Amino acid sequence: MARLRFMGALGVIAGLGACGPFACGGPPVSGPVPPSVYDTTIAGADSDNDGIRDDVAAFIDRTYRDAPQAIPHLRAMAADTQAAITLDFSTPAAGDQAQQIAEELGRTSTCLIGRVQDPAAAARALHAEVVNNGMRGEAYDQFDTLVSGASVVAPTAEERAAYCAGEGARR
Amino acid sequence: MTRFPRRATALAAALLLAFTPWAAPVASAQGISPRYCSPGDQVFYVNGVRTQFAEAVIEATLLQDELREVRTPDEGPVTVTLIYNRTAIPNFQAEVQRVSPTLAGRLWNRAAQAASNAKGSLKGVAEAVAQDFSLEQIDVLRAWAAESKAEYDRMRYERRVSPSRAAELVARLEAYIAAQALVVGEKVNELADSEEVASMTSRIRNAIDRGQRVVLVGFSQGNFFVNMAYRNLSAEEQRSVAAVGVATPAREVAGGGPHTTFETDRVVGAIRMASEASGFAAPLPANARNQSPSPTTLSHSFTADYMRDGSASRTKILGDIQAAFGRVTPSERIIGSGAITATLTWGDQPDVDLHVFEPGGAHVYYSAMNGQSGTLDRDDTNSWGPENYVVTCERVTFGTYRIGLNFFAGYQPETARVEIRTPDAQRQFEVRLDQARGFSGDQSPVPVVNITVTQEGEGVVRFAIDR
Repeated sequence: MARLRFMGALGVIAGLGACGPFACGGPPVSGPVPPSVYDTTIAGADSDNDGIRDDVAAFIDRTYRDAPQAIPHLRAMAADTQAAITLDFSTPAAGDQAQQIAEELGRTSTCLIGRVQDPAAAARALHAEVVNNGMRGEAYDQFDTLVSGASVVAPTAEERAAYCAGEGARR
Repeated sequence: MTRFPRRATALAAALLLAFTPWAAPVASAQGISPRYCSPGDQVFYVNGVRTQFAEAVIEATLLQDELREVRTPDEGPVTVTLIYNRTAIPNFQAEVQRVSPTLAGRLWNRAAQAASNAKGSLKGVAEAVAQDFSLEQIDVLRAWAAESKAEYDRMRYERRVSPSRAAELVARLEAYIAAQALVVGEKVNELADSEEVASMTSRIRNAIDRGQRVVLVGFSQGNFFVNMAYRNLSAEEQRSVAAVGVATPAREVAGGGPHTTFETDRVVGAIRMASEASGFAAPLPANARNQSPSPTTLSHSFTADYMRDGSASRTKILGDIQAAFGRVTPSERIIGSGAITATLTWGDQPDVDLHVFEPGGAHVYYSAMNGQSGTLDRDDTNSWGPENYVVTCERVTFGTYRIGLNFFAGYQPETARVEIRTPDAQRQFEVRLDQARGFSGDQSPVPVVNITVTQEGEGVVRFAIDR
């Protein structure tokens, strides 16, 4: 019985959310630890100042070279997530700024539908690349708290087509 | 499954409600899509914990796509709206210790002992776990297993760990999830006062007021929010609302609605184990089977497991939602479905006035209540409000509607609230008003928010709300 219970407790393995990159067929992560994990700043290195950390840009290019149609949207999402974790949470404007970032992030994320096999897993994997250490995780938690309770109307396919061909492909 | 609500901070309160002005199709340059003027059925989808914001939006969008596929033209349009609840779990370890240090410790010790004794088939499982480690698995460990940042970061990028280490991590995670369930078990009633539930309740009421039939779909932790929001509704309002549970850790679905939970859902299984150990109410029983092998380790993904293409669970969930619409009736007290609505309320000071500058130049306020686009319903001079400015679908025009306030009469500082509703968005703004300005403030009201209606390509309109 104890063994059965313990086997059942494998449910704890990935927490309470959804599937991850491996389980759902998303891009695998392996190999050496990227240097950006040990960054001493939340922002990290962005040598071309495009709002996307160098290591994240490299991850997108490397992982999705066979799905180029998704890359502009993934880059936009990476930039939005980077903006989320580098917000100045000490200012009164942080709430409105978080809301604007979440709005763009949410809209752009739906552009992955039809462009990658498992858009939810892709979004999760990208998030993990951007928020890749404890310091960034804590910053993201602050952003997450600010947007909790927000509502988002799901866009129709028609709306996605219009958005994703225009502003949603801004990167 | 779980997150632990805190009381609203001032900042969170300012962000209380909804946003996201999706571009909306229109029938003509001056008219809004029937999707909004006759909005049809409404699903509110409430995500599970550890689902990032972007993922949750994708889940809601895919659900909408699926529902639109299975509905007939006679059934009309359906819109899915995500009510997001956060992944962040503030002060989790402190909460666990506060709620039940003894029980948490017991679970921890039992799991640790099981891990240390791992052998045989369990070792095989541990090896499988080790080979299937993924980012979020490590991420969950952050609270319990990462003794140091370096250790955490190293583990996070190592796909393979030793079987014994994997067993240890699994054991710790058992304690983690069980303890999390304990915290929620104690704090679940506090959800009734959370920002998320307040947001949900408000959105549901607005949908009811627009004459929509409403189905609430909770996934995992989202079921707690669904149940609480439903309880906030009056009996009359509940007649327009039904609920459907997916992978629910709760003991009931609001209104006696149906649920779908896999026998192999390991998250709900772990919660059930914790509830048995603690005496908290157990989740509803499992009543469905995931395909074998499960697409995910946990058998607990909304999109990959429960809504997987061609699965029986997907058919059941969509059928449950459709059947739920059949059980509810639209409200008879439809307030209206304006393209833009601005509602002003305030406190006990006598007079605060709503002002709107319309795209065509009209200044709508108490002395000019009918504009080119919209209408002000009343001038309240006896405290509290509300005053409503409404632009109907037929009269909305492109351009910017500038919403402002004038503190006309009062003796003390006042705080006013302006709630903005557009077809896709609802936001609330608070404005501190220090001193009454009388007539002198009528021509220069305090700016609150701008609503810009633009055309984004053929047949697409966007409502942007900017402060």
